[in-house]
Amino acid sequence: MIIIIIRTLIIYFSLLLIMRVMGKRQLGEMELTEFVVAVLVADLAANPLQDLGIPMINGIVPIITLFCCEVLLTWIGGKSIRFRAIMFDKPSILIEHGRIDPAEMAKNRFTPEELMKALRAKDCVDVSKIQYAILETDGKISILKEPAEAPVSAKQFGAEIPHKGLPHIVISEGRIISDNLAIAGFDERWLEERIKTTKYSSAKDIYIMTVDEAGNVYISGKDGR
Amino acid sequence: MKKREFTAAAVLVLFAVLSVWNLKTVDSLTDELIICIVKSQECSEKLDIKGAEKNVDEAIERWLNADGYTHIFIRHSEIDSTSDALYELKEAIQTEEATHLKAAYEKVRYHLESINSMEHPSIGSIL
Repeated sequence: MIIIIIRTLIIYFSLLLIMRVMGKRQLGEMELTEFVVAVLVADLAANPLQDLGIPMINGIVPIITLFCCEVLLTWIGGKSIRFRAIMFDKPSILIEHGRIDPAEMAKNRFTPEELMKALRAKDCVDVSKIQYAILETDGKISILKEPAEAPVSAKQFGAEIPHKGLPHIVISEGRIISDNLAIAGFDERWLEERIKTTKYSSAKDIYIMTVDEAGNVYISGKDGR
Repeated sequence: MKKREFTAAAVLVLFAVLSVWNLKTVDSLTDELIICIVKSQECSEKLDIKGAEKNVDEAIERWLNADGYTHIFIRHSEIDSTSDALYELKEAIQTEEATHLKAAYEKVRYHLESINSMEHPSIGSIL
């Protein structure tokens, strides 16, 4: 058992080190420790399932050990800025005021083509209009456009936009979701009355119905209309 | 430290304690069996076939009685090959095959020592 734990820890920290050296772009929207656990767990879980000769403990102990390490490393990262920088790296500024930083690009092993692809995915095609493009620690790119290029907000226009709140699903495939109805501030009686005002005779005819806190309703029937 | 982190740390400590218990258990099990095998070999060298067989039977019984532990902690292929080695030794004693007897004793000892060393941390067992 001690061998299993030692081997798990060696593989875990080796993978952390390798992935840390490989850079953030490999992570695919996961933090480094989460990524390493995800990579290892699938295989660890599969082995005792496929080979009945391997005791279950050989799969369970490493998986639990990995999760415990992940929890503890994340916690230590939350307590220590220096540890966090060592473990998870810092965000990298790839573009600053329309200028691509070749050193940061090389450090993160990003080619100009890959950067342009990532920018296009964020609806940005003109590098000169980007104030900052930041490669986050989970591999995602955040973009802040130059102030002159940023979308105008309702506040800047001085427009009053009523607060609608989050739309909640209150009917899903004909079933009423009472909890969501209560969260939106309504009850089943209100729902029945509201359905009567539509072409549907009951909740069973509705595929999806959402309602926001202002009472705005969206309905789509099971007939697709 | 929050509840989740405390639980994670506690689980790792529990694993460390279980590992120590496992080492002691495997030491005790393999030591007991090796003592039986050594006694059996001494008997067979004195041509005391009944004594040799009795000690091997005792080893087999102890090995089979430990299946609650072995099936959880030891690879099943290792369990099977150790059981085979013990029964082969018993057969060699019963048939009084002197040429095979020494090899049969060594085979059992090798399997028991292998099980023991697999659980002990060393460069070889880790890598």
